[in-house]
Amino acid sequence: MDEHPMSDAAVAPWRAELTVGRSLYPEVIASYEDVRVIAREAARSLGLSPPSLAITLDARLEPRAFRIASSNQSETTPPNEGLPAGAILVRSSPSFVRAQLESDAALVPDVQPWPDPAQPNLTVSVVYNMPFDQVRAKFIEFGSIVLTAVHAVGITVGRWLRHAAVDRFDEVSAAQLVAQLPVYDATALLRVCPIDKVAALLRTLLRDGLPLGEFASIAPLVADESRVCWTEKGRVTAAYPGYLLMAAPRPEDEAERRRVIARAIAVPRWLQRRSVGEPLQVWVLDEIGGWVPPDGAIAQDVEHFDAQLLAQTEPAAAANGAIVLTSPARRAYIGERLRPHYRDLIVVGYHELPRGVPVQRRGTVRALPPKRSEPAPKSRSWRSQS
Amino acid sequence: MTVADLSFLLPAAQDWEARLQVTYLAPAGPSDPNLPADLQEVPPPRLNIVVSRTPTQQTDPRVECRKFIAQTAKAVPGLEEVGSPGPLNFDDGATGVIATISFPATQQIRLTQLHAFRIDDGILTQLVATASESEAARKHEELRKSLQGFTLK
Repeated sequence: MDEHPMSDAAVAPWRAELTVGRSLYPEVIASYEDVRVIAREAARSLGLSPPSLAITLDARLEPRAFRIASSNQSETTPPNEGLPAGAILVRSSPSFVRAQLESDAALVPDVQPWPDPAQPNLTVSVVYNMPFDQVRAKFIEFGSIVLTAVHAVGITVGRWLRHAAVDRFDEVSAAQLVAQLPVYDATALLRVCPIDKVAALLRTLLRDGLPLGEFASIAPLVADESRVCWTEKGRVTAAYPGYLLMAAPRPEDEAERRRVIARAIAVPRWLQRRSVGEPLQVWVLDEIGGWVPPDGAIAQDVEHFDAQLLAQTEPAAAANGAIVLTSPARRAYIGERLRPHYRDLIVVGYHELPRGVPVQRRGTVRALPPKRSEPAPKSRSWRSQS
Repeated sequence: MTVADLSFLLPAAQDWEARLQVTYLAPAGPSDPNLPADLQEVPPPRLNIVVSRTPTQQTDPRVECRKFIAQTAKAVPGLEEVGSPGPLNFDDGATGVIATISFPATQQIRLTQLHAFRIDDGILTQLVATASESEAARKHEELRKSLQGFTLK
């Protein structure tokens, strides 16, 4: 792939504005590069170029608070609470941190719980009355990550970028990615798929929680669909150089078809990278013993299904890196039902699992049909559809 | 397989002090017919209960519980106490103490453990029920009842 070096200003699809309270502001300015590096890394993990980051002081905010927004964002986002002055964040539980520090009689630290800036549903620790280097030296042997208030701001910016990328990704952003393709691939893609449709496809992938780093492999397949062989009988989706054997039903809708093709490349590679030697933690949708609303189901039945789906996938949403596994035919539907509630929970079709990476079944999602006097239409499994 | 099936004699060590640990493992779940047959599957963590019985000088199970939590907190990064230890009345009338902790077993799996302690005639019994955090949330009361059901013959 040709790579064109670009400046931040030229490639940023959005401009992030970080507004900081008066006590935290001097620290953020002094360690601006740390925030930028973390934001750059977050953008890179999405396959995007880094955004430009403007930092301003807002005396109306609480002294240690900060707020992140896009420059063109009309709505106001709630401020985040920054670490108290002089506090050090240790990404480990207060019980563990307290136990380590209490064993050293020379230390008189104060350890308090704090939400993890990377995963706010987890509780980590803030330590007072100890210098940063001393805390880091104490916890480095346990692999615990030790952060300053500015690092915590950077991580929050990175997390915000992952969500903002979906909302702010536009045709300019798409054009910048297309410009990085080999000329032949870029031309072939734009001939069949205008830039607004490329932007829509890439936005969909970001919304599905996928990075765009595989776009160079995806583009030739979207440009020339004769390279994709659809087989509903097989179970293996195989990507060969420039070709794809797809074990899933072929969607009639053009946009959905492109999405399925793109996902068949992006999802297995992304899952493979993410598994880091551990099995994938999966919650399986039971489509054989359970009930899924049929096409054209009434709103009441869909609500009935949604309530069960949300309750049963809640543990998956809380688990780090878990996925919900469905048949290829149900994947898009289940993804749409869950996304508004669990933005970071990824729904994957069987055909999108990476080869050679084992799965560990942590739960089953089984919805019961609605109770009523006349029998509900029976849902069909994906196997019976093929 | 029951505890009786596993009982044994070791004549060479019959004068030595004995300590006992028994592990009960819940049955493995059935395979999922939804999953493709050729999928490489790793069995999920099985719910289990470990019973340990050792001699102790202590008479108060709360002291043993505090000692255990303090030692474990030092050794396990990410350990969290879920609530405070509380009293546990066993079905046979004995009084003990129960604590709940959770900790990361791997990058992706957090385990929850219920630890129950009781002391009978100089013998400390520690009962540990272990489940994945998501499973424990559903089965907490059931696990607690299982530990509560411990009785001496």
